[in-house]
Amino acid sequence: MSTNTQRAIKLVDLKKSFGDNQVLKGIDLDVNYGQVVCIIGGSGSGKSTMLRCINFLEQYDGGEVLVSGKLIGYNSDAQGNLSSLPTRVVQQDLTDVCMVFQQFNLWPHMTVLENVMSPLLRVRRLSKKEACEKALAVLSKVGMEHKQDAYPGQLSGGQQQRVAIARSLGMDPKIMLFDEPTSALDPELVGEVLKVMQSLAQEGMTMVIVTHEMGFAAQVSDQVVFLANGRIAEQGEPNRLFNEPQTDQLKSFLSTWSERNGSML
Amino acid sequence: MVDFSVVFDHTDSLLSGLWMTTWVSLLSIGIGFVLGAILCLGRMSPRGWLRNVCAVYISLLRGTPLLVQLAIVFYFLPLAGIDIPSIAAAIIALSMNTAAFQSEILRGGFQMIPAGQREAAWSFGYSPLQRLYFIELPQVVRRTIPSLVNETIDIIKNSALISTIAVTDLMRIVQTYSSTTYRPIEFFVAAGLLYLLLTSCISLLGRYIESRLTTH
Repeated sequence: MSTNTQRAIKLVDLKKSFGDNQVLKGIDLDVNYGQVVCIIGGSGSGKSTMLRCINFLEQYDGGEVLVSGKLIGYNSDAQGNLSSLPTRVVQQDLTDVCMVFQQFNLWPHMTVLENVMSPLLRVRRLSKKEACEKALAVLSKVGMEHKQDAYPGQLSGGQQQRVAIARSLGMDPKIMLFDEPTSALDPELVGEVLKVMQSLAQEGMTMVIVTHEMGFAAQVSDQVVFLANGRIAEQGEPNRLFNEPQTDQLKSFLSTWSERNGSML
Repeated sequence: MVDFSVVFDHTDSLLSGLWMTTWVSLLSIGIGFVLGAILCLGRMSPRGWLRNVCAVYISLLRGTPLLVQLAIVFYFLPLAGIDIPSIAAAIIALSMNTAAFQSEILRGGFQMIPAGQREAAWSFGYSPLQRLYFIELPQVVRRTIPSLVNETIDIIKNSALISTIAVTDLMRIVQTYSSTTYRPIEFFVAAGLLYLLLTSCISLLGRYIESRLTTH
């Protein structure tokens, strides 16, 4: 077997266009199991699109997305010709990957407990008792078990996001993708979500996080990737990246950021 | 002078007419909901021809009078060699009519669900049918209950038209007695009150269901 199987995620020359607008112009990225990778960059740089291509919420139109060595979304024959896989197969191939969204995307007609239990019942086909036990376990992990009977609309944004994280954790993912998980939150609620994510990182969860929280990125990530205009402009360890930016793009991005946020990190 | 005692002499007939109106309307609403849901899915289908077929059906049924639709079903089916009682013709026409309206109500409900909820369901591995049944439909029904109750009330009132194809609903019975007793005012006022009673019950039931389903 190739070394690909060791990688949690491997992106090879990933390309994606919306109409005439090429958003991703060829991205190469390796994420190992247990690594935390933060993706930073200005708006329109393609960071969310890149993340959404990994779990095929966007169909990429060039290059490859490999999860645990497996090509996602397409089947490659001996001649290297690609054909689309049926949705069902793509979903199966992505069993180990969960996504946490900027807008939480909890289902508003279900209680907190039902939200977490639903995928366990419908997709994992657990019994009601098993699903309930599992759901309560992950809810207590994010400190939300006391709100199990509340509806999402009754919770703060930070609480909703913690429930959304619990819902993902219930599926025992090996890889978690976070798409700006704190961007929709009031400033005072950001901390509680970051704390949960930090503890996941410490437990060794493989995480790819699109974020604007530079302090958090510096603290938890093994690798920071700076995207600009659909390409990786710079990547490396957070210390080096934040303290010694090499490209003008990153320098101006970081200085704009620190102007707006008072201090660096 | 106006004397309602004549109405009370025919209470049994009036109630049997009311019962006919009730079950024919509610059955049509039920069938129309299922047809409407299917139409609505067709209307949102990725297949262009299916979307067009459903759109044409909806504009035909919404754009022509129910009376015309009733007459066509009632006279056309025997012509095509299908012999059915007039009640069945009434139910078919009412169901086909309300299906068009309900599909548009439901479509509005589907469009109110943020795309992210579907994405979440997809990434958790829900099949399209599971997503429809567990995620979308419960929300669509909750959000559209007020409009669906309105449509039910409309169908109850419009069902008076089925009296024209010899269904002995409330309106038919009232018409018969008003002409045999020469007491149109008493009987039509009684009919109005009975329709009002029925639609008020539906309205109350709708509000009760709404309050039970509220999530915050």
